[in-house]
Amino acid sequence: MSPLLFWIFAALMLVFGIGVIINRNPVASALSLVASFLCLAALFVGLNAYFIAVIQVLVYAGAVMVLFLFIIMLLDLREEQRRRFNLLAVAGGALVSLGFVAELVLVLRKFTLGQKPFAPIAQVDDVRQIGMTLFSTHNLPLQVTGVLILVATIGVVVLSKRDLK
Amino acid sequence: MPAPLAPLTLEIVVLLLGIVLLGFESFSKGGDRGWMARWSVAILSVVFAWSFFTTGDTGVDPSHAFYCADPLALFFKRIALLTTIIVMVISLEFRPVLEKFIPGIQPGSGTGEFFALPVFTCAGLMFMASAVDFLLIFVALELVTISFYVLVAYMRRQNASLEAGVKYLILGALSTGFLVYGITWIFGLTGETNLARITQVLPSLLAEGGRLHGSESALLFALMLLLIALGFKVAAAPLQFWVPDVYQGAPTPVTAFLSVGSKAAGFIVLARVLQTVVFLPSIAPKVLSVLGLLAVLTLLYGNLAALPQDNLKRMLAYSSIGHAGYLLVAFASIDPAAGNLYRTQTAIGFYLFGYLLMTLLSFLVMTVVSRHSRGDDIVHFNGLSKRSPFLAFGMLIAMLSLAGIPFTAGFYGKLLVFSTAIARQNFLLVSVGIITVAAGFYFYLKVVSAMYWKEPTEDQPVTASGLTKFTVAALCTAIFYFGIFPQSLLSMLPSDKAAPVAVSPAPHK
Amino acid sequence: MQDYLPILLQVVVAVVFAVSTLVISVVLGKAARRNAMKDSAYECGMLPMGEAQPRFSVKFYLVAMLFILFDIEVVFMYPWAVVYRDFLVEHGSSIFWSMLGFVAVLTVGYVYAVFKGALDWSK
Repeated sequence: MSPLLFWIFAALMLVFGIGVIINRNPVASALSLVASFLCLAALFVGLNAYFIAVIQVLVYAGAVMVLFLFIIMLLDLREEQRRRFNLLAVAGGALVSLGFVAELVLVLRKFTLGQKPFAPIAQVDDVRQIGMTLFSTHNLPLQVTGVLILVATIGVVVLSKRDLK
Repeated sequence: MPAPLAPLTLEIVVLLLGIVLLGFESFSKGGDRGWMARWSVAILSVVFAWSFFTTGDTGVDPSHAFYCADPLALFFKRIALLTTIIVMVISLEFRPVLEKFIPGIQPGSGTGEFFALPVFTCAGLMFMASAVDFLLIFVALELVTISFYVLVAYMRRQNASLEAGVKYLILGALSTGFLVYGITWIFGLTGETNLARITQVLPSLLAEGGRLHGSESALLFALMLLLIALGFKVAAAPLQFWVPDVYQGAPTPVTAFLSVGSKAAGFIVLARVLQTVVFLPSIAPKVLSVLGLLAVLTLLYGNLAALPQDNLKRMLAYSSIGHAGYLLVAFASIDPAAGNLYRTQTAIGFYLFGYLLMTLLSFLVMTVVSRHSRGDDIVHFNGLSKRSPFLAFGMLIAMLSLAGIPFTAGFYGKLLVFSTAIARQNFLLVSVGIITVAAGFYFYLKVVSAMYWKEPTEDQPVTASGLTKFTVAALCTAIFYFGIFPQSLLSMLPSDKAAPVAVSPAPHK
Repeated sequence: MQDYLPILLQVVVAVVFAVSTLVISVVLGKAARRNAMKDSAYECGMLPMGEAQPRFSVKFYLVAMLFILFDIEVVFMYPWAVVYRDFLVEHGSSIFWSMLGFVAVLTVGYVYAVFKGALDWSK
């Protein structure tokens, strides 16, 4: 991926990410999040990670965002728009995230790998590689993931079905 | 004597139990679901007994080591099983309260999942005990956490439970984010997710003129992220602020489960992760000093904030923070020169087992009493000795053991923990520990004085089921037995004499 | 980079279409006479009043959440289907049993959701 494209998509992703936080209208926030996810998918494509890029679009930008919008529709939007910022909380949050970024920058400056671009991986069929690993060596985590999804299904039904029988 | 079993069968049986319970729940309509809990208690007890017949070192997936079954893992599996069994007993006593706060069509409907979910949580805890690869650690941790999100918010008609659920969900998701980011950094540095192979790769990475310059600060950054995430899970100050509200709002059996099961799993993951880095000379002092700071803060916060509490459930939440502090003392006192963590592992294993007995005992008695008195403030325990001398005695034992009176399991656990700190001549930790133990005496004995020296506000007797009485008696006996004969428990834990069970690293593909 | 040229062209066409539609409607719409009645939405009989964003029922949330969970399941099936044939040759039939176990666990969840009436819209 050319560095120019990387910087364009990374910058766009951050811009939309900030948009998620500062938009007063939750629907606009959610749509900014979609745009941010799409830019992230573009970054994955640039790394030749096509499978993850597709999943990013399908699952996150598609399904998860539909869910977010449904939840937003459930809420009373006007209350959110009326709400005032708690200045102390904003300042505290900004301080913590600035500290985090500062630490990240310090670590990356010391760390030579951070300044050296990774050698591009030779043309690989990433879906094939993921499939081969997932079903041969990584079988145990896969099965536990199945149980995890099952538990999530129970949780959804238990917590949002109106009358349980 | 049955043939040696592969340890993974334990998890498989537990998972099958959960699936079968869920199947029954799908097809049944309304009615009492207490039988589910009773069957779970029976089957999990069988699995618990079975765990003593499993061989420690059966390679389950030799091609890629995700899973190990060293003595420590087996010990923590037993902790998970025993916790789940007693939580089921507590749930049985808790049913009337539960039915009141869930939107079922008829009495008893909608409670089945409350008995099925802890079984899945138990399986997740057992996987965590055995996980030696960040991938399995993450997946198992999520299995545990997601089922806890559901369980905490289970009483949908009670605002406190919903509020607790939302708080736990948001902070839990945040801490998971830190965990994954930390794992990403470690993977980026070493190219591995397997803990044993990370241990092999790290020394050459950190060596002067190694492959990557500046890896040390990157590794410390990754460890900081992991410590933040695990600090959330085990409720170490300053990452403990979710604990009081979540513990108080959650249904009581879930609070009991959270304060024992979730904590034990967090500590074993911490032990496994520290094992990979703590013997690196350039990393160890920094990590240990951070752990020491966490231990001091956690001890002081947990024990001092518990002093003014009037609500027993909330007080036990602060007490659970305090106990996390004692466990962290054992971690901060790791000897980097020893080459193994056996001393710390033994201390935390024994401590957590004792903590399990006394905490679950107090939650069990509290559930019974608060059902009769309709509240879990300390006032509701006034004169309990006159209403039910047996339950009052059980609570007395639990409080004495939590405070650390000699001849109880709680005392010996503290002794082990402090002995690790004394061996490292870390007298700051020891003195803070002793101050907080003294503070602990005050608030634990407050409950005892309410039960024995105050007049009861109501006078009808408090009754409990036979199973509950049996459990209370068994837990009291165990607290004294392991307090007087600690050796019977210590022999199950790794010691310096035993040969270390190595996680066979597979050749890298 | 050449491979992405069609995508770029498509993006350009989409943007040009959207922008031109908006611009043309504004330009042409400005020319006509406007008043409050004319700008209101067309609706017989009653005035369109109320919130622009009506609140949805929680049922939508339940269905959407279940959809995501099974969507994630499909994510694992995709690489499975891609490598199935080669895997059988290289490593044997374990891939079949692996997916069978995964799907069996999730089928329990599906049966549970169906029999609990989670997909029953009217109730």
